[in-house]
Formats: sequence, C-alpha cells, structure tokens
Amino acid sequence: MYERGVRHFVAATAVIAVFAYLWIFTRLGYPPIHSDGYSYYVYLPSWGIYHDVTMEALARDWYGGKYPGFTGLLRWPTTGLWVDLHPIGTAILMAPFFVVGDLLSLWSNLPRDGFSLYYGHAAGAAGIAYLIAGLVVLRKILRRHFSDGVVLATLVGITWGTNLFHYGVFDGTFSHVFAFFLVCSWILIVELWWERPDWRLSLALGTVAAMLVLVRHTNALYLAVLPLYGVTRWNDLGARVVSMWERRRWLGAAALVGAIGILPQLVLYRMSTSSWLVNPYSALDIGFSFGSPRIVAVLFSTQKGLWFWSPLLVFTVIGAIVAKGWARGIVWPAVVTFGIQTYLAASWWDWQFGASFGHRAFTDGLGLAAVLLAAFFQWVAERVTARRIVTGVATALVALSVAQMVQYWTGKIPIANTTWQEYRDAFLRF
Amino acid sequence: MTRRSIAIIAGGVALVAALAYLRDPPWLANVTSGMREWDYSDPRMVFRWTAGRASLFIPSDAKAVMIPLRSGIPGPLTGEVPVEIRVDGRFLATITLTDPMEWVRQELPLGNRVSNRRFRRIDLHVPRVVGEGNGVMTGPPTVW
Repeated sequence: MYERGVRHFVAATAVIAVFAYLWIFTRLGYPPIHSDGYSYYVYLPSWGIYHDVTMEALARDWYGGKYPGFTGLLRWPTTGLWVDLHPIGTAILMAPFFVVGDLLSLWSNLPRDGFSLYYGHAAGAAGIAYLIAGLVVLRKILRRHFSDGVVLATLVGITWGTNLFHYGVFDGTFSHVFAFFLVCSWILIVELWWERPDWRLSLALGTVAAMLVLVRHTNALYLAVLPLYGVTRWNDLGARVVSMWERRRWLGAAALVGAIGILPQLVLYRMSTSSWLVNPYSALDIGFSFGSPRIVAVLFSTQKGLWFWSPLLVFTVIGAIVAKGWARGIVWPAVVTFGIQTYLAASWWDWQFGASFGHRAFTDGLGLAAVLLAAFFQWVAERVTARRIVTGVATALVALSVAQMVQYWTGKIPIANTTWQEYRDAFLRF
Repeated sequence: MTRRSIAIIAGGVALVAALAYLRDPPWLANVTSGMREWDYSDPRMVFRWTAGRASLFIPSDAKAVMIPLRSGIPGPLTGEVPVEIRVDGRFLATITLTDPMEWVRQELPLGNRVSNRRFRRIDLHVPRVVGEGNGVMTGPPTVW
C-alpha cells in the first residue's frame, strides 16, 4: 500500500496543485505574478521581448521611464542605471515557461508585452513544475535510505505540513520553490559525488551550486552540505579535508563551472553599478543587524515563527537527535545550514520577510529538513505506542497547516504582523 | 502498438486540439492586459486605470471603436498626455488628452480589414504613469 502511495504521491500532488492554482487565480482573483514575484520575473520580458539587459526599455514602455516602488527595481545612486533587488536565477529557471507563454501569446493574438494572460500563467506553472520536480528528487533521495511508509509520511509532511505547497502554488513566482528544487538536487548530487565522483557529477555540482547562488545569494550557505556531508564527529573533519584534497581535480572542475555560471550576474552588477559584488538593498539603506538578531521571534513568534506556523518541523529537531545510519551524516550539514539561515533571517531588517505564509526563509532548505523528519519517522516506526501517537499528532498538524494555508489565501490570516489575539480570533474560522 | 506509443499519439492529438482551440478562444472578449480593476467611485462614470501599456479585445466585425479616455492628472511639461492606439499591432491613432478632468470620446474607424479571428486586439500606450504605475483612465469601450 505504501509503495503505491509513494509511487503516485507526486502525480497526486500535481493534480491537487493545479486545482488549487485554478481556484486561487480564478475565484480569489490574485495575479500569478505579484509582490516579490515581479522582480524575480521581470528579467525575462526585459531580455526576451525588449532585448535589453538594462531594464530601461521596459521601464519606458510600461511606466513612462520609472519603475514604481512595488516593482523592487531602483536606480543605482552612482550610475543612475536600474538594479533589481533580486538576482537572475529564478528567471533563468522560469525561461522555458516564458518561451511557451510568448509563443502562445503570438498564436492567440494576445499582446506580447511580457505580462498578459499566458505570461502570467506560464510563470505560475513554473512554480508548480519546480515544486513537482523538487518532490521527485526528494522522493528519490528518501527512497534510497528509508522504507516506503516513512517516505510517504515524510513527503506528505513536508508538502502539506509546511509552507512548501503554498510557495509552489500561491507564491510560485517567488524564488523559494525554485530553491527547494535546487537544494534537493544539491543533496542528491552531493551524495552521488561522494559515492563515486566523475566528470558528469562534478559538472552537475558546479551547475547546481551556481544556480543556488543565482536564485538567492544567501543560499550559498547550502554549499556547506558538500564538505559536511557524512561528517558525524569533530574528528571526521580532518579526514574530510584530506578526502576533498584527494578529489581536488573534480572539485576544481565543479568550481570552474560554478564560477562561469555566476558570471552573468556579476557582469550585470558591474554594468549597472560599476562594482562586481553588490548588495542592491544597500541603496535603500536596509540590511542585516548582526548584533541584534530576533532569533526567538523567527522561530516561535505568532508573526512568522517557523515552529509556530509549521509545528510539524519540531519533529526534525528530534530527528536530528535520533537519526542513525545515512541520515546521521546529514545532521551536521542540516544543523549548520539551519543555524546560519536562522541567524541571517533573524538579523535581516525585516525578519518576517514581509508578506508570507509561515517563515519563507526556511522553505528553500526543506529538502534537508525532510531527511531529519524521515529519520524521526523511522525512529518512531520501530516503537508501536509512539507510532500511534505520532501518526495522530502529525496528521493533526498537517491538517492544521493546510487549514491555515487556506485561511491565508482567503485573507482570514494577516499577511504579516499577526498577533496572538488575531491568531486566536481567526483560528479555524473560514 | 505499445502503451507508450498510444500515450504519445494521445498527447499529440490533445496538444493539437488545445492549440486549435487557443488560436481563437471565445473568452478572449473578457481578457485584458495592463488594466486595473473597474472603479465605481464616480457615480457618473465607471472607469479603470491603464498601466503605461494596456490591451483589450473587441469583436472583429466592429467597424469603429470609441474608448473614453481621461488623463486624470496632467502630464509632464505641457500637461498634455498623448495616448497611442494600435489595432492588432498596427498604428490607428494618437489621442491627446489636454484637460485632466475631461473625458475624451473619439470614434475611431477601424477599416475593413479581413480577419478570421473572433476578436481584434486594441493596444493603448501612454508615455507617462502616475502613482503605482497608472497611465490614463478608460471607460467601457463602444463598438459599431
């Protein structure tokens, strides 16, 4: 039974995602490209339709020469050229869908303006596609090491017990679901590369590493999975340095591919700002406050607390403690990347990350969390009483997450700054 | 014939059928691009703002079209706001809005261009925007 469930889970999720998408964008009336999604997407019409990497032509055509504030584009103070707050990686991954949207617009006589009907839904479809692709990769990872029952419970938990589904369907033009796919791919490639490195895997390492950085620069932290993979004790670190030195040829090839991969972004920064490395947010005088991180708020608050809005993820903490076998070797990479991610999010000027369901800073790394969740479920599966209790609790937490996601979609839950009183007043009210 | 072959053929047929349908779908009349939601705050005139670019569709057998236009806020320099209008990508007219408070209703002949589609696309282009990307105010179009 579980084997069939695992086999059909991704297809079933795809069907549900399509129906949810249709409901959101026909009944609820949200445009697929909205909020941050605009600035992730806008490279495509600018490059593909206006043939302009400076973004000027699109600004002239749509906004009389000046992007409005909501777009997330700003004129760089020293050069006067447009700089996008968000990098190019999401647009690169969306590009095949954009091409389909463009060809369909031509076919149906819709305006080839980059934002008409088919462009929007092509961008929305990209979010669903990368959600599904990420789940396919995650299933492949989990199946190598866990029983079918554990894999199925983990896939259900990660998809529906967190904000992953939301970021594949509702906010599918944001970067998070694309990064989720890349992090899952990264884990799988790292695993295969450590098993048996070759040129193909080394090139894949470099490509995925570059895309991780291009989708969200701070996601460079996930590169730490490569050296920490399989490390379970401090004493392992020395041996790991030696083994990496032994594989320096493969690593060099991967690093070269990665450097070439991020070059377009660096060139774009150089053209727009005269600098190779840029923090676009610095032009707005916003950034990190590393001396006063809001760690408790990021993890526990009613506003956006990770474990408040996705309580199922508390099980990953136990999973990190009880993990054994292969999963034990993922604990260090998961804890280190989670720790850095928490500190970065908590230090960011807007630690809530604006409008979002749950805390979206952690959505990118849910592939790593899934391994720890699976380790927990595996541990529970060996204990009859615990299995019954956890099955009930996990089912309730997944149902709660789905209910709150729908409440968020329908405006019953505030998009940010939720207070305890507001949460209580809205609790399970539709 | 294998199941794979059947699936490929069925997929191909579905794709061709979908493309044939999407070439001229009947719901295109309700599709717009670059238009905000309708605003009912003025009891004399329902209107919606465009962005710098906007598109709408009218029946292909229409001989003329009139789209009420108002700038709402003066343009830069002289205060005038020119609105370029195209039909199916071809230039039709430029209407210059001089008074921000006045609705301009100009009938534009569309000619007798033969089309095998149900609808023709009208594109508006405004070289300025105000606020969060608003171009000009438009009322419901009339066609003859």
